[in-house]
Parts: sequence; structure tokens; C-alpha cells
Amino acid sequence: MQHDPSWHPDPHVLVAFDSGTLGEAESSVVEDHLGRCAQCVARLLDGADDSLVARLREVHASPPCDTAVTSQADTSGCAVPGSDCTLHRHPSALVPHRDDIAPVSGSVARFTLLARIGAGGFGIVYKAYDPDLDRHVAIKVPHEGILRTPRHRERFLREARAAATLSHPNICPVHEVGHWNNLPYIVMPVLEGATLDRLLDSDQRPTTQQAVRWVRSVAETLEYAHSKGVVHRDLKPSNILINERGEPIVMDFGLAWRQTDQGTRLTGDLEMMGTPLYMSPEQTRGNAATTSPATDIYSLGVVLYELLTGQPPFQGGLGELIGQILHVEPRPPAELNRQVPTELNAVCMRCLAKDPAARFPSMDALAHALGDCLTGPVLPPPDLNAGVGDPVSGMISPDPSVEAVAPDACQEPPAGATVMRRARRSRRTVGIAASVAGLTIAAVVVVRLLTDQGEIESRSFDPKQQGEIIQHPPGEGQEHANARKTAADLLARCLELGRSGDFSEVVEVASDAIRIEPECAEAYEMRARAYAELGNYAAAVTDCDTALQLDPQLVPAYVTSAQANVALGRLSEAIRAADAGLARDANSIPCYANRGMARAKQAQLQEALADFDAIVERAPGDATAGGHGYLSQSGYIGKRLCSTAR
Amino acid sequence: MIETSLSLLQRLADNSDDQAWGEFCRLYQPLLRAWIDRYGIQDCDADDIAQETLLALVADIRRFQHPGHSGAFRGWIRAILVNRLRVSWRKRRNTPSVPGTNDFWERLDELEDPDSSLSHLWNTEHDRHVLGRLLERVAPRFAEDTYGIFRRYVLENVSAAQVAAEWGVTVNAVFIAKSRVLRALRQEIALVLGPQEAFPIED
Repeated sequence: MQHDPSWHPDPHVLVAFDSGTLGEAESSVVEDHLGRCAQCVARLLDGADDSLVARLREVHASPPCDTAVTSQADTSGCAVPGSDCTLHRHPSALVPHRDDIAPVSGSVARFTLLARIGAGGFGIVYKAYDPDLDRHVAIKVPHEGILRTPRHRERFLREARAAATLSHPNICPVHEVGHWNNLPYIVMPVLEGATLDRLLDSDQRPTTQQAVRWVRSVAETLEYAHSKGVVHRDLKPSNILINERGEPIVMDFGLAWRQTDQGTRLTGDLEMMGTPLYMSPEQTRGNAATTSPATDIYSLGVVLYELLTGQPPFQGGLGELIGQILHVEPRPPAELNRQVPTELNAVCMRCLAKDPAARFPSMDALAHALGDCLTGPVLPPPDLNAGVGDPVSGMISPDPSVEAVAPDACQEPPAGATVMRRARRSRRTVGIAASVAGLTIAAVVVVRLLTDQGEIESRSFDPKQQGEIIQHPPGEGQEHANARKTAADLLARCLELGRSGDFSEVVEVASDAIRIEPECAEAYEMRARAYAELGNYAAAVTDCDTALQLDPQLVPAYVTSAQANVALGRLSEAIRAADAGLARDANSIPCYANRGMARAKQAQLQEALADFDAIVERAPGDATAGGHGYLSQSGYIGKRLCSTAR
Repeated sequence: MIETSLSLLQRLADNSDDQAWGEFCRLYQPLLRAWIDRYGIQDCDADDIAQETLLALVADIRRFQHPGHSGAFRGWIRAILVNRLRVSWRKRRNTPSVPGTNDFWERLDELEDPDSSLSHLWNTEHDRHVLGRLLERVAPRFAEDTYGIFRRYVLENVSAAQVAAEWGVTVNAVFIAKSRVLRALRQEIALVLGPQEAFPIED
């Protein structure tokens, strides 16, 4: 029909063709026709512009940058469409984008490109030949479009320099940095081996021991980088290569941030960043000012988690992922892989603490903790352990002396000594648990005040009293009585540690107590509180449940359960726990506070206010001795919160 | 017709696709940076705010329901940028100086108002930037003369007859070049922003 000279496309078809909204097949028919029909061409000449064309002309014609832009204005923001020829000069234009390893031709400076061996958010890496030194090298060229401005180019080079200051057998070195056709490039050696992401994707997942060894080695390597003032900031499995000798090599200090460079902060462009899977909470908040070695500790914790369990701690859509990184506690790796011993589980969870101050104080400390996981002897089979109730097999004790406690609780308890040694290893200042999801700082303070000080003061934290709590029932064997005594000592130690803010140690010591005396509700409650302090709210809830099964009258367990549930956003559960606590102790201020918080978050402001009033009523002003002043304060803060919310 | 495969925005909302994230950041980061620079913010802080904005965008992307009217997306980004600038500077307790005017907050209010001249400038620069980037992606698919003709005729608004004379082609070839590149550009727009987003003319 279209060959019929009397045929012309409908006017609306012609309009659709003109505006690019006609399908490909139909378009080619119209194209064909236009070659033979001056009439239709004339109709197109007379046609009105479609809105997209009008907009293209409009934005193209408007002056590219207004005067308010600072002198360093990013010219890419004013890119003249199609007029930028970087695209055509760039070697990456030579090769298909998606192929992982693709043969290429071309050259960069004196290097002959041989194959594309990798690509990331940052740039493309080619295998190349260096004729001067007659060797193969890896050459990294930034992605097209990334380094359009002098500012960006300068940044790329500064980052390369940051990496070049490092010289360590486990860090991929930088051979040279240069410019070619106005683009910078970085030359590195070609490394043989497989990156951790490949290993994770394949069936060659490492054993727990192997994973711990690798991560420990990476921690030691990063301790070196940190000592040089360089923070990696982009640790992930694809940046860790296991070479032929089975040693990890840390690569791609592309986002590295040199701390010492007088005010020169190499904050990364987000466009250069890859997935947020490995980002720390402070990174996802975009707060580069708080990026520190603790950031790398978090990311390495994610890598460890993935090596241990085969999956990253959080998954999901990007928005969801970021929400989880900021507010949700990961499932402890031991829940996903029963081969993961408690100690290692604790190390991993501590790396993943939301609050940077709650993580290991340094890579060195992390390396040591991992070393302890490796060197400690495996606990003897459960039947030799009087109190071992934990069914997790393959438990590795962190310290030989802990193991010594378990089989024979009668001997002089060395637990104190153990704890002291540990306490020296990890110091930590008390920080506000700012990770409590969605709460304002003031609200966090309320909860903290109540659980941290109010509770500590008002509860029986005297070792003697604690001993009374764990009084052994009449008729009990001497052996069991000794176990109880040891558990009580350990709990006393927990209280001391809790006062100095060392909650990771509290978890460990309380776990020891649980191992010795699995029926001890207080030990579970203690560990729950420490978990809550460390931001591991899910674990806190689980421990509270256990504690309450063992002793339904244990009001502090209701408090901690309520607190942790508030943090998890499980508000009805929180209210239920606080209700149960108040049913047993109608004057429990922390129960009121947590219920008030939960109700405030549910927007039940009237009810919340009643709870805060109850606090003020029960702890009036500073008149009461024993630190009750701040308890009333928490009531007032809560009341103020309610009125603000209103 | 325009393809209806998942757009970049949908991919961002639906999964933690590494590529989508990188693509989105590469597309929007320079624009955001250029605007943050306008507020007289130092380099490293500007980077932080750009990052915060991108993360806020991504975190919120599921909640962004395209209301169907065109230009909604660029308005949404502008609103989030304004919000991030506010929050960031409240956090830093330090008001930077804005070249040309001393009042940082006033200029923020101006950008927040969709009818202000600053918002119009945002719209123009947003469209220029995004369309420019999308055209860059499209351009390599065409022969040099096809894209050159498109650029002269559509972008530079030179008459069809003159463009034909310059390139030594007939006038119908100009329309064919225009149609082909526009079709590819529309597909690219749909792939990135979804089928609904258009770039409306101001007023």
C-alpha cells in the first residue's frame, strides 16, 4: 500500500514521527515515504514543534551558568548536549560496558590496552602492556564523565596519592600516576587471585577459621593504613583479593580519606561509590566529618558477616537497605551459621554496632579479638561442662582461663583476672545510644538515664546482695552451690564493667555466667541490658524472654524488654512488657518511661503524658537523695517532648 | 511506542541494584553539587550534602508517587535538596555566605517556592543537565552526520533548509535524523525516569 503514490501517512502519524513517538517499524515506512514525497516534507516544515523539542531548544538557548555559581562551577552541570567530545576520546568508549573481561584495542599513554579486567563505580581497569619495563600492568582510568572538571581530576589524583603513601605487602601498590589526553590514570601491578566476592559467589566459601584468618589479616593491614592516616572507606569483598598464596590483598583506596592532610578531606563523590551494602551508618548519613577508622571497622564487620553466613547483614531495596543500616540490628551470624562460636559472633556484632564508639577502638583491637577466636582451645564436649547449656557446637573460648572456669567452678575463680585482662584490651567511653530508631536525642536521653543510672543505682548492684539473689536453695549439692557462687561473682563483675561502660565485656562475662549457671535469670537479664546498650536490640529481647521464662517476677527484664522493643519500633510489645513490669511493681519508673516513649511514638500523647506525670510524681525533683533528681528530669523531658509533639 | 521496561527509578526502588545506584548518582551528583556550590558551601561539606541528598532521594524514592503531571520529579528533587541544605546547616550551626546576597536562608526559601525565579532556573538547569546526559548516552548510537544534523536543527534551532545545505543532504534527511534521535532520547527518558516524566516548557 505504501508504494501507492497516492498514499500519505495520516497527519497524526506524521506528527508522531516528527516527535519521535512513532514505533520503529512504522517510522521506517514514513522515512521511506519522505524520500519520495515533497508534500509530506513540506507538511513537516510547517508543523508545530513538539514540547520536548521546544524544551530542548529552550534549555539549550538559555545561558549555561548563572553568576551565582561559584568560580569552580561544575561545567558538567551546564553541559552542552552532544558538544562534549570527552566521550569519544575516552578509551572506555572502545569497549562494551557490560562484559567483565573483554578484549580491547587502543592505548593509554605508553601502555597498550590488552583487556578490560574490571569495572566499578569509580573507573575501568584494563590489563595493559608497559613496553618500557616490558611487563603487564593494570591501568585504571576513571569513568567517562566523572572527571569532567579540574576539581574532579585533582581529586582523583589526590586519592591516588593517598594510596601511594602506603607500602605494605597486603596493600595493592600504585606504580605510577599520569595524565593522558587530559585524563588521569593510575598504574598498578596485575594481581593474580580471586576477589572475595567471586569466592562468595562460587562454591568456595571459606571455613569459619579461614574467614577469621583472612579478616584478621585485613584488619592488621588496615591498622597500618590507619596509622598512616588513611581510611579506606570502601571496604567490600570485591576490594579484597586472595592471592595465590592465600593472602588477602586490600585494593582500591579510591575513596580513601587522608586524615592528616591539613584540612584536605577526600570525601568521596557518591557517584564513585558502589553499593551501600557495606556502608557504615555514619556513611549512609553522609556525615563524612564522622568518618573515621571506625567506619572501616564496620565495613570489615560486614565482610566478616558475609564470609561467615554467606549473606550480608542487610538486604533489600536501597531505601530499605539504608533504613536497616541506620536502625535495624542484624541477626547475629551464629543464628545463621551454627559453626560460628559465641565469641566470634560477639566480635562480628561489635564491628556492626551502629554507634562508632561501641565498635572496636582500633583495627588492632579487632585483629587481636579475632586472633583470640583462633587461638583459644575448643571447649571440651558438653558433658564435661557442668553448666554448658548452649547447644551451639564448635564453641571456641576466647581465653584459656575462661575454659578453666567452666569444668571446675570450685577452684579459685580466675574470672576476675580474665575480665581484667580483657578490660585492658578494650576501653570504651560511655556514649549515648543514638542508634535508637527514630527517637529524638532527648528521648534517648530519657531511656538512657533510666536504664543506665537510675536502674544501676536503684537495683541491687552490690555484689553481696547479688549473692543473695542467687541464694542456693536448701538441699542443693555443694558443687552446684559453687557454680552459683561463681555466677554471682561474674554478675558482680558485670555490674562493675557496666558502670565503666564496657558493655561488650558485660556480654562476654554474662555469657560466662550463663554457661556456668544456665538457670540464672539475672544473668540473661544482665546480658540483655548489655546487648541493648550495644544496640543489639533483637538479642536483648531474646535474652529478656529467656530471663522471664526463668523468673516471671524479674521486673528489670520487663524494663529492658520494653526498652529494646521501643528501639525496634515494636511498640505494642514494648507496652505489653512495661504493663507486665508495672503489674509487678507499680512504682517502676523505667517501666513508666518506656511505656511513655512507646505511647508517644504511637502518637497517644495523652497516655504518654500520664506516664511521664507518673514519673514526676514518684521522683519529685531533687529532693530525693540517691540520684532521683534525674529520674524526675526524665519525666519532665518526656512531658516537654509530648507538648512539642502537640 | 515507548518501551515500558523498568525505569532506573523503579530499579532503585525495587532492589539494591548496584548498577542502578551508580547510574543514578552519576546522573544527579554533578547537578546537585553545582547547586550546593551556589550556597557558598565549602567543597567537602558540599560533597557531604550532595551525598545526603542522594541518599535521601533514594530512601524516599518508593514514597515518591508520580502524580502524573510532568516535571513532578525535578520538583521533588528540588524540595529534598532544600530540605537537606536546611538540615545540614542547622546541624553545622554555621551559615555560609551566598555570593550576591548575604541571606542564605532567604535564598533557600526562594528555592523552595516553586514559582520563584530561582526555581525556574533550577528547572532549566535540571532539564539541561538531565537531557544533556541522556543525549550523551544516545549520541554514540548514531552516525556522526545523523547526530550532527539533529544537534544543528533541534538544539541549535537552525532552519531545516540551512542544516540540509550545511551537511549536503536533502531536507527530508534532516527530519529523519530528528525523528530517529528524538525516538532514542524518549526511550532513554523512559528508561531512566519512567514513561511519565517529561520536560515541560516553563509557563
